[in-house]
Amino acid sequence: MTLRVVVDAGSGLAPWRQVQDQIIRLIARGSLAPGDRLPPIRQLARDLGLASGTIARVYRELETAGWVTTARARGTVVADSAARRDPEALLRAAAAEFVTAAKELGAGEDTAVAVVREIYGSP
Amino acid sequence: MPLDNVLAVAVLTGLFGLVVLVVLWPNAKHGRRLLRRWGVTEPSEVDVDEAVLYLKRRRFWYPWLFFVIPLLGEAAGVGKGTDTAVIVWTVFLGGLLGELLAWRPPARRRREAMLSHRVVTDLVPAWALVLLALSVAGGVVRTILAREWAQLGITIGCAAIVAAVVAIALRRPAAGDAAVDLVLRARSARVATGLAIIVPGATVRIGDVPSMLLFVLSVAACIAVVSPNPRVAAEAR
Repeated sequence: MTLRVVVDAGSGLAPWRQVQDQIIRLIARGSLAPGDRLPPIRQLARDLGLASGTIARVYRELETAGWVTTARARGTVVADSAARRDPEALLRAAAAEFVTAAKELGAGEDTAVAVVREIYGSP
Repeated sequence: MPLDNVLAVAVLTGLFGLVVLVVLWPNAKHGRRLLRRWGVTEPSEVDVDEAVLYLKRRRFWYPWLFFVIPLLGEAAGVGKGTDTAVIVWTVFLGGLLGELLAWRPPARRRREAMLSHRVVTDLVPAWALVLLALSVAGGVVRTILAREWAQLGITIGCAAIVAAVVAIALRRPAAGDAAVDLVLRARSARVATGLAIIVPGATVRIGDVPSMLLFVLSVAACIAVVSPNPRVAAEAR
Protein backbone atom coordinates (compact mmCIF):
# COMPACT_ATOMS: atom_id res chain seq x y z
CA MET A 1 0.00 0.00 0.00
CA THR A 2 1.27 3.43 -0.91
CA LEU A 3 1.68 5.82 1.99
CA ARG A 4 0.49 9.38 1.60
CA VAL A 5 0.76 12.71 3.32
CA VAL A 6 -1.94 15.33 3.15
CA VAL A 7 -1.67 19.08 3.67
CA ASP A 8 -4.85 21.00 4.40
CA ALA A 9 -4.32 24.74 4.07
CA GLY A 10 -7.49 25.35 6.10
CA SER A 11 -6.55 23.23 9.12
CA GLY A 12 -4.95 26.07 11.07
CA LEU A 13 -1.77 24.04 11.61
CA ALA A 14 1.38 25.09 9.76
CA PRO A 15 1.97 22.90 6.66
CA TRP A 16 5.45 21.82 7.80
CA ARG A 17 3.96 20.69 11.10
CA GLN A 18 1.21 18.70 9.35
CA VAL A 19 3.79 16.88 7.22
CA GLN A 20 6.11 16.25 10.17
CA ASP A 21 3.31 14.89 12.38
CA GLN A 22 2.09 12.51 9.67
CA ILE A 23 5.58 11.14 9.00
CA ILE A 24 6.17 10.62 12.73
CA ARG A 25 2.83 8.79 13.03
CA LEU A 26 3.69 6.55 10.07
CA ILE A 27 7.05 5.65 11.63
CA ALA A 28 5.60 5.20 15.13
CA ARG A 29 2.95 2.73 13.98
CA GLY A 30 5.43 0.82 11.80
CA SER A 31 4.05 1.79 8.38
CA LEU A 32 7.47 3.27 7.63
CA ALA A 33 10.20 0.84 8.68
CA PRO A 34 13.87 1.57 9.39
CA GLY A 35 15.73 1.97 6.10
CA ASP A 36 12.63 3.08 4.15
CA ARG A 37 13.43 5.97 1.88
CA LEU A 38 11.50 9.22 1.99
CA PRO A 39 10.90 11.11 -1.28
CA PRO A 40 13.39 13.80 -2.28
CA ILE A 41 12.71 17.24 -0.81
CA ARG A 42 11.89 18.80 -4.20
CA GLN A 43 9.47 16.03 -5.21
CA LEU A 44 7.49 16.21 -1.97
CA ALA A 45 7.50 20.02 -2.01
CA ARG A 46 6.20 20.19 -5.59
CA ASP A 47 3.55 17.51 -4.99
CA LEU A 48 2.23 19.35 -1.96
CA GLY A 49 2.56 22.82 -3.49
CA LEU A 50 4.97 23.91 -0.76
CA ALA A 51 8.36 25.60 -0.87
CA SER A 52 11.40 23.30 -0.87
CA GLY A 53 12.58 25.07 2.29
CA THR A 54 9.40 23.96 4.09
CA ILE A 55 10.05 20.27 3.41
CA ALA A 56 13.78 20.75 4.11
CA ARG A 57 12.74 22.06 7.54
CA VAL A 58 10.55 18.99 8.13
CA TYR A 59 13.40 16.63 7.26
CA ARG A 60 15.83 18.66 9.40
CA GLU A 61 13.50 18.54 12.41
CA LEU A 62 12.94 14.80 11.93
CA GLU A 63 16.69 14.23 11.71
CA THR A 64 17.35 16.31 14.83
CA ALA A 65 14.74 14.26 16.71
CA GLY A 66 16.35 11.02 15.49
CA TRP A 67 13.49 9.82 13.30
CA VAL A 68 15.42 9.88 10.04
CA THR A 69 18.98 10.04 8.82
CA THR A 70 20.26 11.72 5.70
CA ALA A 71 23.10 10.33 3.64
CA ARG A 72 24.19 11.69 0.28
CA ALA A 73 23.93 8.36 -1.55
CA ARG A 74 20.60 7.11 -0.16
CA GLY A 75 18.85 10.38 0.54
CA THR A 76 16.64 10.61 3.65
CA VAL A 77 15.79 7.25 5.23
CA VAL A 78 13.98 6.19 8.41
CA ALA A 79 16.57 5.76 11.17
CA ASP A 80 17.20 2.38 12.79
CA SER A 81 16.71 3.96 16.21
CA ALA A 82 13.24 5.19 15.23
CA ALA A 83 11.81 1.67 15.57
CA ARG A 84 12.99 1.43 19.18
CA ARG A 85 10.93 4.40 20.33
CA ASP A 86 8.74 3.70 23.33
CA PRO A 87 5.08 4.12 22.19
CA GLU A 88 4.08 5.43 25.63
CA ALA A 89 6.78 8.10 25.49
CA LEU A 90 5.45 9.13 22.08
CA LEU A 91 1.95 9.34 23.52
CA ARG A 92 3.19 11.50 26.39
CA ALA A 93 4.97 13.83 23.98
CA ALA A 94 1.80 14.15 21.87
CA ALA A 95 -0.28 14.75 25.02
CA ALA A 96 2.14 17.43 26.21
CA GLU A 97 1.75 19.23 22.87
CA PHE A 98 -2.03 18.95 23.07
CA VAL A 99 -2.07 20.37 26.62
CA THR A 100 0.11 23.28 25.52
CA ALA A 101 -2.26 24.02 22.63
CA ALA A 102 -5.31 23.72 24.92
CA LYS A 103 -3.80 26.17 27.42
CA GLU A 104 -3.02 28.62 24.65
CA LEU A 105 -6.66 28.44 23.60
CA GLY A 106 -7.76 29.08 27.19
CA ALA A 107 -9.37 25.65 27.63
CA GLY A 108 -9.46 24.14 31.11
CA GLU A 109 -8.55 20.55 32.00
CA ASP A 110 -12.17 19.37 31.99
CA THR A 111 -12.87 20.86 28.57
CA ALA A 112 -9.65 19.42 27.09
CA VAL A 113 -10.35 15.93 28.49
CA ALA A 114 -13.97 16.11 27.27
CA VAL A 115 -12.74 16.95 23.76
CA VAL A 116 -10.30 14.01 23.84
CA ARG A 117 -13.06 11.65 25.02
CA GLU A 118 -15.39 12.90 22.31
CA ILE A 119 -12.78 12.42 19.54
CA TYR A 120 -11.63 9.09 20.98
CA GLY A 121 -15.19 7.82 20.92
CA SER A 122 -15.94 8.97 17.41
CA PRO A 123 -15.42 6.44 14.59
CA MET B 1 -7.06 30.75 -53.11
CA PRO B 2 -5.45 27.59 -54.58
CA LEU B 3 -5.89 24.47 -52.49
CA ASP B 4 -2.18 23.59 -52.52
CA ASN B 5 -1.38 26.89 -50.90
CA VAL B 6 0.14 26.13 -47.49
CA LEU B 7 -1.94 28.74 -45.72
CA ALA B 8 -5.13 27.31 -47.19
CA VAL B 9 -4.14 23.84 -46.02
CA ALA B 10 -3.32 25.23 -42.59
CA VAL B 11 -6.72 26.95 -42.39
CA LEU B 12 -8.49 23.76 -43.47
CA THR B 13 -6.62 21.62 -40.94
CA GLY B 14 -7.24 24.31 -38.31
CA LEU B 15 -10.98 24.14 -39.03
CA PHE B 16 -10.76 20.36 -38.85
CA GLY B 17 -9.04 20.77 -35.46
CA LEU B 18 -11.87 23.06 -34.33
CA VAL B 19 -14.44 20.40 -35.31
CA VAL B 20 -12.37 17.78 -33.45
CA LEU B 21 -12.26 20.10 -30.43
CA VAL B 22 -16.05 20.56 -30.42
CA VAL B 23 -16.64 16.81 -30.80
CA LEU B 24 -14.00 15.75 -28.27
CA TRP B 25 -14.39 18.61 -25.76
CA PRO B 26 -14.20 16.62 -22.53
CA ASN B 27 -17.03 16.35 -20.02
CA ALA B 28 -17.55 14.27 -16.88
CA LYS B 29 -18.30 11.17 -18.97
CA HIS B 30 -14.93 11.40 -20.74
CA GLY B 31 -13.11 12.00 -17.46
CA ARG B 32 -14.79 9.03 -15.77
CA ARG B 33 -14.07 6.76 -18.73
CA LEU B 34 -10.39 7.75 -18.77
CA LEU B 35 -9.98 6.97 -15.06
CA ARG B 36 -11.85 3.65 -15.26
CA ARG B 37 -9.72 2.49 -18.18
CA TRP B 38 -6.63 3.16 -16.09
CA GLY B 39 -7.90 1.24 -13.10
CA VAL B 40 -9.61 3.91 -10.97
CA THR B 41 -12.83 1.91 -10.73
CA GLU B 42 -14.93 4.29 -8.64
CA PRO B 43 -13.68 7.82 -9.17
CA SER B 44 -15.12 10.59 -7.00
CA GLU B 45 -16.52 13.80 -8.48
CA VAL B 46 -13.26 15.57 -7.57
CA ASP B 47 -11.24 12.86 -9.37
CA VAL B 48 -13.44 13.18 -12.46
CA ASP B 49 -13.05 16.98 -12.43
CA GLU B 50 -9.28 16.52 -12.27
CA ALA B 51 -9.34 14.16 -15.26
CA VAL B 52 -11.57 16.54 -17.27
CA LEU B 53 -9.20 19.44 -16.52
CA TYR B 54 -6.31 17.24 -17.64
CA LEU B 55 -8.03 16.50 -20.98
CA LYS B 56 -9.08 20.13 -21.51
CA ARG B 57 -5.51 21.33 -21.01
CA ARG B 58 -4.46 19.19 -23.98
CA ARG B 59 -7.43 19.37 -26.34
CA PHE B 60 -7.68 23.15 -26.10
CA TRP B 61 -4.50 23.35 -28.21
CA TYR B 62 -5.60 21.03 -31.01
CA PRO B 63 -7.16 23.60 -33.43
CA TRP B 64 -4.22 25.98 -33.00
CA LEU B 65 -1.70 23.19 -33.53
CA PHE B 66 -3.61 21.83 -36.54
CA PHE B 67 -3.31 25.34 -37.98
CA VAL B 68 0.35 25.99 -37.10
CA ILE B 69 1.99 22.59 -37.75
CA PRO B 70 1.63 22.59 -41.60
CA LEU B 71 3.10 26.11 -41.63
CA LEU B 72 6.00 25.03 -39.39
CA GLY B 73 6.59 21.94 -41.56
CA GLU B 74 6.78 24.09 -44.67
CA ALA B 75 9.06 26.61 -42.97
CA ALA B 76 11.37 23.77 -41.81
CA GLY B 77 11.56 22.40 -45.35
CA VAL B 78 9.87 19.05 -44.62
CA GLY B 79 6.66 19.83 -46.47
CA LYS B 80 3.13 20.24 -45.14
CA GLY B 81 3.19 16.70 -43.83
CA THR B 82 0.58 13.98 -44.24
CA ASP B 83 -2.70 14.14 -42.34
CA THR B 84 -1.41 11.39 -40.03
CA ALA B 85 1.80 13.33 -39.31
CA VAL B 86 -0.19 16.47 -38.48
CA ILE B 87 -2.42 14.51 -36.09
CA VAL B 88 0.58 12.83 -34.43
CA TRP B 89 2.42 16.13 -33.94
CA THR B 90 -0.75 17.84 -32.70
CA VAL B 91 -1.30 15.23 -29.98
CA PHE B 92 2.42 15.26 -29.20
CA LEU B 93 2.71 19.03 -28.78
CA GLY B 94 -0.73 19.24 -27.13
CA GLY B 95 0.59 16.84 -24.49
CA LEU B 96 3.68 18.98 -23.95
CA LEU B 97 1.64 22.19 -23.60
CA GLY B 98 -0.82 20.43 -21.27
CA GLU B 99 2.01 19.27 -19.02
CA LEU B 100 3.52 22.76 -19.00
CA LEU B 101 0.15 24.19 -17.89
CA ALA B 102 -0.03 21.57 -15.11
CA TRP B 103 3.34 22.78 -13.80
CA ARG B 104 1.66 25.65 -11.94
CA PRO B 105 1.38 25.20 -8.14
CA PRO B 106 -1.99 23.70 -7.09
CA ALA B 107 -4.56 26.14 -5.72
CA ARG B 108 -6.57 23.54 -3.77
CA ARG B 109 -6.69 23.77 0.02
CA ARG B 110 -6.21 20.03 0.47
CA ARG B 111 -3.17 18.55 -1.26
CA GLU B 112 -1.97 14.98 -1.21
CA ALA B 113 1.36 13.34 -2.05
CA MET B 114 2.67 9.81 -2.14
CA LEU B 115 5.47 9.16 0.32
CA SER B 116 7.66 7.31 -2.14
CA HIS B 117 10.50 8.15 -4.48
CA ARG B 118 8.97 8.49 -7.96
CA VAL B 119 11.13 7.37 -10.89
CA VAL B 120 10.65 7.25 -14.68
CA THR B 121 9.78 3.54 -14.70
CA ASP B 122 6.83 4.26 -12.39
CA LEU B 123 5.31 6.08 -15.38
CA VAL B 124 6.73 4.28 -18.42
CA PRO B 125 7.73 0.59 -18.28
CA ALA B 126 11.39 -0.23 -18.97
CA TRP B 127 10.50 -2.21 -22.13
CA ALA B 128 8.78 0.86 -23.59
CA LEU B 129 11.88 2.96 -22.89
CA VAL B 130 14.01 0.33 -24.67
CA LEU B 131 11.65 0.44 -27.68
CA LEU B 132 11.86 4.24 -27.67
CA ALA B 133 15.68 4.15 -27.59
CA LEU B 134 15.76 1.61 -30.44
CA SER B 135 13.29 3.59 -32.53
CA VAL B 136 15.06 6.93 -32.09
CA ALA B 137 18.54 5.44 -32.58
CA GLY B 138 17.34 3.62 -35.72
CA GLY B 139 15.74 6.81 -37.04
CA VAL B 140 18.91 8.85 -36.42
CA VAL B 141 21.18 6.28 -38.15
CA ARG B 142 18.81 5.89 -41.12
CA THR B 143 18.40 9.64 -41.71
CA ILE B 144 22.17 10.22 -41.44
CA LEU B 145 22.91 7.43 -43.94
CA ALA B 146 20.19 8.74 -46.28
CA ARG B 147 21.39 12.36 -45.71
CA GLU B 148 17.81 13.41 -44.89
CA TRP B 149 18.75 16.27 -42.59
CA ALA B 150 15.24 17.64 -42.13
CA GLN B 151 13.98 14.18 -41.08
CA LEU B 152 16.99 13.90 -38.75
CA GLY B 153 15.88 17.16 -37.14
CA ILE B 154 12.35 15.79 -36.71
CA THR B 155 13.64 12.57 -35.09
CA ILE B 156 15.91 14.45 -32.66
CA GLY B 157 13.19 17.03 -32.03
CA CYS B 158 10.62 14.38 -31.13
CA ALA B 159 13.16 12.69 -28.80
CA ALA B 160 13.68 16.05 -27.08
CA ILE B 161 9.92 16.61 -26.74
CA VAL B 162 9.29 13.15 -25.24
CA ALA B 163 12.15 13.73 -22.80
CA ALA B 164 10.57 17.05 -21.78
CA VAL B 165 7.07 15.55 -21.40
CA VAL B 166 8.31 12.63 -19.27
CA ALA B 167 10.49 14.93 -17.14
CA ILE B 168 7.57 17.31 -16.49
CA ALA B 169 5.12 14.44 -15.87
CA LEU B 170 7.57 13.13 -13.28
CA ARG B 171 8.14 16.46 -11.54
CA ARG B 172 4.96 18.54 -11.84
CA PRO B 173 2.78 19.21 -8.77
CA ALA B 174 0.34 16.47 -7.77
CA ALA B 175 -3.21 16.54 -9.16
CA GLY B 176 -5.88 15.23 -6.79
CA ASP B 177 -5.96 11.77 -5.24
CA ALA B 178 -2.63 9.87 -5.30
CA ALA B 179 -3.94 7.13 -7.65
CA VAL B 180 -5.51 9.65 -10.05
CA ASP B 181 -2.33 11.70 -9.96
CA LEU B 182 -0.18 8.69 -10.90
CA VAL B 183 -2.61 7.67 -13.67
CA LEU B 184 -2.55 11.13 -15.27
CA ARG B 185 1.23 11.34 -15.05
CA ALA B 186 1.60 7.86 -16.58
CA ARG B 187 -0.87 8.61 -19.38
CA SER B 188 1.03 11.76 -20.39
CA ALA B 189 4.38 10.01 -20.34
CA ARG B 190 3.14 6.92 -22.21
CA VAL B 191 1.28 8.82 -24.95
CA ALA B 192 4.42 10.90 -25.61
CA THR B 193 6.62 7.79 -25.58
CA GLY B 194 4.27 5.88 -27.92
CA LEU B 195 4.12 8.75 -30.42
CA ALA B 196 7.90 9.19 -30.29
CA ILE B 197 8.28 5.50 -31.13
CA ILE B 198 6.03 5.83 -34.18
CA VAL B 199 7.57 9.04 -35.63
CA PRO B 200 10.89 7.61 -36.96
CA GLY B 201 9.04 4.67 -38.58
CA ALA B 202 6.40 7.00 -40.06
CA THR B 203 9.00 9.23 -41.75
CA VAL B 204 10.29 6.32 -43.88
CA ARG B 205 8.93 6.41 -47.42
CA ILE B 206 6.99 3.15 -47.69
CA GLY B 207 7.98 1.43 -50.91
CA ASP B 208 9.12 -2.06 -50.01
CA VAL B 209 8.34 -4.86 -47.57
CA PRO B 210 11.00 -3.95 -44.91
CA SER B 211 9.83 -0.31 -44.69
CA MET B 212 6.20 -1.47 -44.50
CA LEU B 213 7.14 -3.97 -41.79
CA LEU B 214 9.02 -1.26 -39.87
CA PHE B 215 5.97 0.99 -40.00
CA VAL B 216 3.58 -1.76 -38.86
CA LEU B 217 5.94 -2.73 -36.02
CA SER B 218 6.25 0.87 -34.83
CA VAL B 219 2.45 1.26 -34.89
CA ALA B 220 2.06 -1.97 -32.90
CA ALA B 221 4.69 -0.79 -30.40
CA CYS B 222 2.94 2.58 -30.08
CA ILE B 223 -0.43 0.92 -29.38
CA ALA B 224 1.16 -1.37 -26.78
CA VAL B 225 2.78 1.57 -24.97
CA VAL B 226 -0.20 3.94 -25.13
CA SER B 227 -2.88 1.40 -24.13
CA PRO B 228 -4.37 2.06 -20.68
CA ASN B 229 -2.89 -0.10 -17.94
CA PRO B 230 -5.23 -0.62 -14.94
CA ARG B 231 -2.27 -1.76 -12.82
CA VAL B 232 -0.96 1.83 -12.63
CA ALA B 233 -3.79 2.87 -10.30
CA ALA B 234 -3.48 -0.37 -8.32
CA GLU B 235 0.18 0.41 -7.60
CA ALA B 236 -0.83 3.69 -5.98
CA ARG B 237 -3.51 2.13 -3.75
